[in-house]
Amino acid sequence: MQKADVHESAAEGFPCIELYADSRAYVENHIGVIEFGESIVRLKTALGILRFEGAGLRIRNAEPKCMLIDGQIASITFEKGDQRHRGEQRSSLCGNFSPDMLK
Amino acid sequence: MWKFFSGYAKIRVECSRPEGFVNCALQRGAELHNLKRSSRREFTAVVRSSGLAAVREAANECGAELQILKTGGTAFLLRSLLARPALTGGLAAAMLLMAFLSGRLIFVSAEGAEERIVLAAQELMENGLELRFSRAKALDRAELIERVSGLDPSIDLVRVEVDGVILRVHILTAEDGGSGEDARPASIYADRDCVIVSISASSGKPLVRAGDAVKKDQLLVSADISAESGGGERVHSEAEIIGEVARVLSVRVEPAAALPVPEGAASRFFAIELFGITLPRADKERGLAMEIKHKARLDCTFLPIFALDARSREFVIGTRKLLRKEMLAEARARLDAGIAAALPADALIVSKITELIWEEDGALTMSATVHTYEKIGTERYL
Repeated sequence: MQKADVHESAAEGFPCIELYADSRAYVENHIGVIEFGESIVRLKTALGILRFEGAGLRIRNAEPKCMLIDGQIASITFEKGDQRHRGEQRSSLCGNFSPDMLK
Repeated sequence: MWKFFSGYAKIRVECSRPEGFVNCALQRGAELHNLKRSSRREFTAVVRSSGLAAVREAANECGAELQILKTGGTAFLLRSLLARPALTGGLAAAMLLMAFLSGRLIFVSAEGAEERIVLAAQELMENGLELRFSRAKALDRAELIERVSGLDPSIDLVRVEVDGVILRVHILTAEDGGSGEDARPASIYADRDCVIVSISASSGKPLVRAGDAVKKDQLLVSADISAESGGGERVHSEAEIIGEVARVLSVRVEPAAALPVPEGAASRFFAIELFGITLPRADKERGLAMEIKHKARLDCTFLPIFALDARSREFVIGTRKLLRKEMLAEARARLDAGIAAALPADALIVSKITELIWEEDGALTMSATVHTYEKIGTERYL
């Protein structure tokens, strides 16, 4: 997979998410995998736990810094309870986000 | 593609917390692909061969049970070959041998002339010139032809052919008809009446043109080209001449023909039919005809067995008057067979006109006029 232009926030260690329709998500700067299964994938990031929900989810590629997830993605959420914000929150996909918002 | 070149392994991991194992493997620089969770404690993934050591370390640290389900790709193939030095050495030696021999002449053969000359040529090539196992590119064809030609004065032509690792030498002598016959002066004559469609002479002097009607035995291409060269020279004429030939064929079919007909006297008999086969069988060749009068199924059995009340007649050769349809079919069949037999193999039929005449005595005369394009000309030596 080719990396697109790296966002400024990604360079600072914050997560950067590229979403291809509702079927594939490319996450940069994750810290580790908290949970993975067919309906949920949770990744640890500098901004907290990034939660993917959907159906038929699968980790296609897992690398030390990057992760490619595919499947039918229904929602992408930052879990607020475990958030540890450091500095200004600059990720464009922070908070609650749903691919339905694009429709 | 990367899977093939770098080598890959499909693994199954079982541990209390698979996520911990994944993080542990990622920290060690391993890359995991196609992670599929099969149960709460178990998942499968694909790793590159280069990351397999890191995955093993992670499994030891996390207390996970690691199982390699499948391996593939070049790296694992090389590893398995290195684990079998005898096999690898044998394969490498065989490949080196093939590479060494592929550019050399392994088989040397002579053919075409009488056995004495062939054996001499074979001996010359193998022992005299030592061509066997020599390099094909270094073969001196001119020298080989010269040496083989010098073996016997009757050798007319030597042709050398290298086909991979095979060297073939074809030897032609004058007795084989190689070139001696063609040098004799010859003219071309028409071998049948026709109209010339095209004429193309490569040697000799053409005396007719396209559109000319020629008769059988008429001179078409003359061997005498003295008018052209002015020296009374005679050549072996060569030409391709196509002519349109017309043929008329006719057949006569009589209205009556000798045919096997059933005799008047009949004898009654019983037969059995089982699965469509009647016993005893009617056999026209043996001169028996059978007429079935009654047919009844035998209810005492589940099998399809029938009892037949039949009448048999013997065939006798009698004269029967043919129907017009039968006469036409007979005439067409005989005419087609006659045309097929009369035409040469290379003839191209351009038109075919068929006429029917019903005679007063009831006979049928069918005639066909067939126009064909075919090669014309026969050589006659002077």
